[in-house]
Amino acid sequence: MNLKQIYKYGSPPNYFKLSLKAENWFLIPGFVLIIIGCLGGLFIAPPDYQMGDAYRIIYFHVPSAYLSMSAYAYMAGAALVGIVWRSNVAFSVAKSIAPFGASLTFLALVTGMLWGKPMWGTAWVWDARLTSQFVLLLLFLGYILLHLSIREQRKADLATSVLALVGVINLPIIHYSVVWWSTLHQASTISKLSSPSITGDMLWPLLVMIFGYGFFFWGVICRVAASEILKREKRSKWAKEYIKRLK
Amino acid sequence: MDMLSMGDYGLFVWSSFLISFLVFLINYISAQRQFISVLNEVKLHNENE
Repeated sequence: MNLKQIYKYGSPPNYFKLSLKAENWFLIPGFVLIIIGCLGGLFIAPPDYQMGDAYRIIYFHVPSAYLSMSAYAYMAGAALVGIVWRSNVAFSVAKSIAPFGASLTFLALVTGMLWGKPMWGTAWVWDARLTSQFVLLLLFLGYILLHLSIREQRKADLATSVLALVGVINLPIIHYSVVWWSTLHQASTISKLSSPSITGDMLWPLLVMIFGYGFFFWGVICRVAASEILKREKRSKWAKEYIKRLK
Repeated sequence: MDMLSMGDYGLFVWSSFLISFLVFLINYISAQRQFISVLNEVKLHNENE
């Protein structure tokens, strides 16, 4: 793909069409992978020798935690593209990612609490990993609220993009929190695929779930971004023609 | 039944599954509803012009 093609797909009508087409390319594999991952993680993988079956929460906790951080990185990346190229499409994508990103961060925190309660004896401690993940949730919520609070679209896009970019500093803090500080949270399970700290029987459903969550996430983002672009471009000729064709 | 009890951790494991399922379902449904709502908004906008 050359630069000309990238510019072509960066135009609102082309991106809108591509998003709607791509939605099922992501959603269907995502759905299938999540089902396989759930079956593998909940019923096929052996119990852990220390944590027993409680460790199976890993199949929901780790994918949501990974994806929450990735979602923030994608949002900040789109915000940067939006600022540099004044791209309405990039701003739309950034805005579309925030609600699902916040949901995934919430999910990572809640499943972590559900895992922590039986294993640590407490659902919450203010250690570095949990606190920095909580800050990520606040950043997503702050982004959403800032967008809602500014009426003028351009100003809202710029202000939220700056917030998204400043918040990127939290991502390495989350990732390295278990290395830099003494935390109750365990170290990364699969930071290196060549030497993961879990056996292959337990690892494959986890990888399948991570990919499944990722595909499903992008499937939903395609639809939300298409909605956002259509809303912003409602006065344009292509949007009017699209609506006419639907009738 | 052993599978459901998850070695006495069933409440925690199945709650995680259920919450994850609900979050994904809500995001999927809200994405579809948002698209329909924008379509209606744009239709209305076109008719008023």
